[in-house]
Amino acid sequence: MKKLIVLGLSIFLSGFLVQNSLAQTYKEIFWEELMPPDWAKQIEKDFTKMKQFESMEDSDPKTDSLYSKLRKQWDEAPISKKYIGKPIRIAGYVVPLDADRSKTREFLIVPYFGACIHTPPPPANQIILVIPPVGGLKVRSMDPVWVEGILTESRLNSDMGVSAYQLNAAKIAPYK
Amino acid sequence: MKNLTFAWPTCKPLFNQFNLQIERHQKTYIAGASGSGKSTLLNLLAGVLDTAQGEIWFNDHAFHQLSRSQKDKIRGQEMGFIFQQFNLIPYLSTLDNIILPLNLFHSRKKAALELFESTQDAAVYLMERLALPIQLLRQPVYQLSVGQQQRVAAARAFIGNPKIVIADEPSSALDWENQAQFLKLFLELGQSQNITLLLVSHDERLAPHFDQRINLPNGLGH
Amino acid sequence: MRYWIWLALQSAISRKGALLIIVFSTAISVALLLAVLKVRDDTKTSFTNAISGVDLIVGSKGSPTELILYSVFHIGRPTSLISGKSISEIQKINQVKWIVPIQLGDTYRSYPVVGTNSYFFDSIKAQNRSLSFTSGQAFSDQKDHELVLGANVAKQYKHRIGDRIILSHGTGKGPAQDHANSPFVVTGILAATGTPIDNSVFISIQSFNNLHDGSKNLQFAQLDSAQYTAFLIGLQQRSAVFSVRRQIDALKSFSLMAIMPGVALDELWQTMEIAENALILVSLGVVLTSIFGIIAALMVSLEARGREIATLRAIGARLSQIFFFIIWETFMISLSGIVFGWALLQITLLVFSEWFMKEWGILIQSGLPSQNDVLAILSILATALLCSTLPAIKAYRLALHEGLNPPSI
Repeated sequence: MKKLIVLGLSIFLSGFLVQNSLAQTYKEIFWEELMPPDWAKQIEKDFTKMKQFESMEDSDPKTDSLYSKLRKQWDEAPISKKYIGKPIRIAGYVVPLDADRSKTREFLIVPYFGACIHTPPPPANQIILVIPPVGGLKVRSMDPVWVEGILTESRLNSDMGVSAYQLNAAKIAPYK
Repeated sequence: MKNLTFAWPTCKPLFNQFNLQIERHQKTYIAGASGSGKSTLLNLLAGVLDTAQGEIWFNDHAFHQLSRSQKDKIRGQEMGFIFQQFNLIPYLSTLDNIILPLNLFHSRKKAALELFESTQDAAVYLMERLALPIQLLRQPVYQLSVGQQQRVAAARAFIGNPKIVIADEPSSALDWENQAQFLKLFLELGQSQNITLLLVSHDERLAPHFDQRINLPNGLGH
Repeated sequence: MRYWIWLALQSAISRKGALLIIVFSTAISVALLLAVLKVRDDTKTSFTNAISGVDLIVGSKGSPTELILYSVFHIGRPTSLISGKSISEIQKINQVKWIVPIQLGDTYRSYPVVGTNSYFFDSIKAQNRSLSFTSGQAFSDQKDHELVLGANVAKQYKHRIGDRIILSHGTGKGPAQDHANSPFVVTGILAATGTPIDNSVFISIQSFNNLHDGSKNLQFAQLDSAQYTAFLIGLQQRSAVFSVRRQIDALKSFSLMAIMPGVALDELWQTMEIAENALILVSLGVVLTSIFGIIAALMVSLEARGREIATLRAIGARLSQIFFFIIWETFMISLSGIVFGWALLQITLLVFSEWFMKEWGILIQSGLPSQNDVLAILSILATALLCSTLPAIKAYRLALHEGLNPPSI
């Protein structure tokens, strides 16, 4: 009899512990980790190239074309598979998509402030589309937030094979 | 028999070891020219002013020991005042002015209702005694003549059977004829209801009508 | 206690000349404050919900705020038009999933008429739900003179499928240039969405163009030869929005501007909130001034009421009773001002609500005080009471010092 009780208790306890650990397995990650390392290195090289042209005029067609080339590279930046399918936790700034003020409004998060207004937008692997949970948080443009959820890949059904990060958030919280 | 006395008020340099005794049911005349400290005396009697030293007794109430609001209550219930300036509430009617003390103090209202059916009847009775035409009952008091206003003030002082009615130069604003009439009514009312009367005035012509005469000490005054 | 209330009332009535003016001034300031609060609340409601599922709105280069106000909320003046030739260029951009052009400028009884293609009803969402019809269906892009009604428009004029409607050119305020020769037939009525869609009337692009230039007689396939107010764009992947925006801006032969509706709306909100807060502060200042007016009037009146107070004291009134006598009077005056002010606002709203809707497209209604209103009123009352201690203390002191000897007149 005693053995049964002990067994039952330990099963219950271990279940409880697993439950707890599951609930806390959102790994906090940083934006750099979302860039494939070799791509990141390539970008660094491109930046040093860019510096050579810093002395040039803005209206110079060479600067223009270099800028477009850079932007195109950033728009097609590949994602890293490292955290796909894993529960993560990351902080970023809100870029709202829909023009409504409800809690169901989808938004993007980006690593830095002013991504759509003052500064150029980030590369594609530094943008996450967040689908808010039911009863989520009301967010505004440029609010800093924490999001938790399983990171997924959204693939374009075309031969181009462009992928982007998506997160079905389990929880959104203001960043403090 | 309770003694109605005011004894030994001493406050400020104004009254120094001053003793005053006013007999119950008597008519007392206090002689004082304006500025002889009579207003201070009146304030003391009314319980509005506190003494630094000495005692004031009113109807077995030790005024010098009571709180301000306790004295206010006694004043409202047991005293009536008639002033030089009549002091009526200008926006109220004659009736409302007369029964004002009854509306503020339940015991005084009760005293009036022991004798009359309603507060209005009590007021009307006094108006008749004071020769005020009944049509004035609901008129706003500022429409009345000076002589009429004085008698309304008197009615207010007498209503509800106070223990004492104190009049301060009540008729100095009236002409001589009205003065005489007023004095007559004042004394009659006091007599018939057995109320202690106290008149403060500098007009010596009024003095002979009173039982007791008190002179305020010389050298008082500002 | 009740007697003192009655006495205070009588006292106030005797001075009603001056007091009425003060009550009136308080009423105006309270009405002003309540009006500002109400406009803020009601505009919030109007702007809270808009269409969703749109990733970019493209218009001619200019102010993003104007573009979103006009293209989504139908508020303001139309910006310059953009050419249909750019549509094919935009469609070439990889990430673009759908593009719905819209035209604006006409009205039906002051409701905006939107020229668009039937894809609008499939692509656009409201509050993340797809649009649906309560009756009928979308107009046909190939046919002319068919239209779809938003829920509120249909409800207001009790329209049904098959009704004939005349559209007028312009904003609907001036003398209508009726397109009387070309009545439209209702083919569909949309379900309510809680967005500006409910207040819109939809017709095909072909119909819209033919309304203005019958000679061209545009066919469906010739989308690109028309001019448009804006394009609504949906993307394959929403996170590609920055990239597509850049590519549209880069189309050199057309001066286009692509805005992100969420961001533009948030910026609009922010500006509005700053303006609203400024207005509220000013209104509060005005209310405070009125309260000071009440206090000042009472202070002055006390100068002349020495006798009244002395009389009450002689009759046995306590100092505390004198104090509350004055406080009660202030309370009565303030309360009258507030009630009067609220009533004034309601009457104004009843009269002007319709004009406001026509002019700005925002609904402001009279009605019971909102939670914010009640809060505001209570704070005003509390402030007035607090300030009323000033004259009450003055009265108290007066009673205390003058005793039975009031200042002689």
